[in-house]
Amino acid sequence: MELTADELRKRFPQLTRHMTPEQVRVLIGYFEKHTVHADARIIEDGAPSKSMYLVVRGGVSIVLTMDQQELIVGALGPGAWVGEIAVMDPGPACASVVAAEDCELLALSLDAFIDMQNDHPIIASLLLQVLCAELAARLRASNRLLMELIARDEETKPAVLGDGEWAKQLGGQLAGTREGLA
Amino acid sequence: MTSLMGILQTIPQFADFSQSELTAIDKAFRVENYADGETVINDGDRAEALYLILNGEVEVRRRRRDRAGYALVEKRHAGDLLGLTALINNDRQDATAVALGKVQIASLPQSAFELLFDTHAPIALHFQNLIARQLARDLRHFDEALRSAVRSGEVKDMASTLQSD
Repeated sequence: MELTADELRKRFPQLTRHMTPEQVRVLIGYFEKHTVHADARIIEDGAPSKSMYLVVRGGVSIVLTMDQQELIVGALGPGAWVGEIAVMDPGPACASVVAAEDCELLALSLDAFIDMQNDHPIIASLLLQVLCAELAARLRASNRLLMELIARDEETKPAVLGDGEWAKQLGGQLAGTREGLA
Repeated sequence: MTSLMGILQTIPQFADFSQSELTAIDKAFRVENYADGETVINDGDRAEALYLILNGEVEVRRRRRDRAGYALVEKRHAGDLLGLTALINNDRQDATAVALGKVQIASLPQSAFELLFDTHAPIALHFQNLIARQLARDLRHFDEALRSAVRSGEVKDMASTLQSD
């Protein structure tokens, strides 16, 4: 079933709170609905990514691939954006995003976002306001986490922890603080 | 003395701003000169403005958890914005920014920032793209540092990575 503008407003008030019903209707026209099954890879770590996704239903895992091993560092659900870093700062994706269950996503491609900026600058500006707030909050949390890690490094020597243990602890902290890296 | 407009035209981040957009920015921003070692932003202060480095270098210092000295230092250059996260999240500054040598900075008070966004949609959009790009780039940078910590277990390496930029 297609997500209506009214449903988008009700389910994601943070995203649409400064938009009129007509603006939400226009906004939704730029999205493309994607339905993916559990375990589908939505974004591949290190690969170029030209779309960002709003999780509408279901949940996704944020997965880092390192030395041929995968580490789940976060879990995100409805209302979360993934892939926006690679769209705002074009380049490879910072992490993989994998469907933890069957998911419904709204994809906004870079091309569609550019079209929106040209055709409906006010709506694009309102959307960017939301995305900037999310990026800023995430950056602040990343800074806090880095300071925590540095403090812990000074208190307990990481050398006594095996790499696997260190990664597990960091993974736990990232997941706990909702540090999605995608 | 070079005008703000003249300086903005030399900063790559503003290359795709139109003449009228640069004129509006020129009117809204206030240019200030800082001497070597002078503080631009104080850790813990309320967000009052957005800062744009016009020329020179600024060191951003993050305090250790026990407040005894700084644990993390980053250098910022011309074209970089300062005080972004505090301004957007309407929160206190979480780092101190200090001039390295003579530095020229343009500041946009919070009220002017909000007015610009409310009244000049095309400029606001252009500026928001600039802000989003820097936030995304900073996040990418931090993510790489975190990834390096996972890989090596050497957190001190992250501080030196950030410092070398």
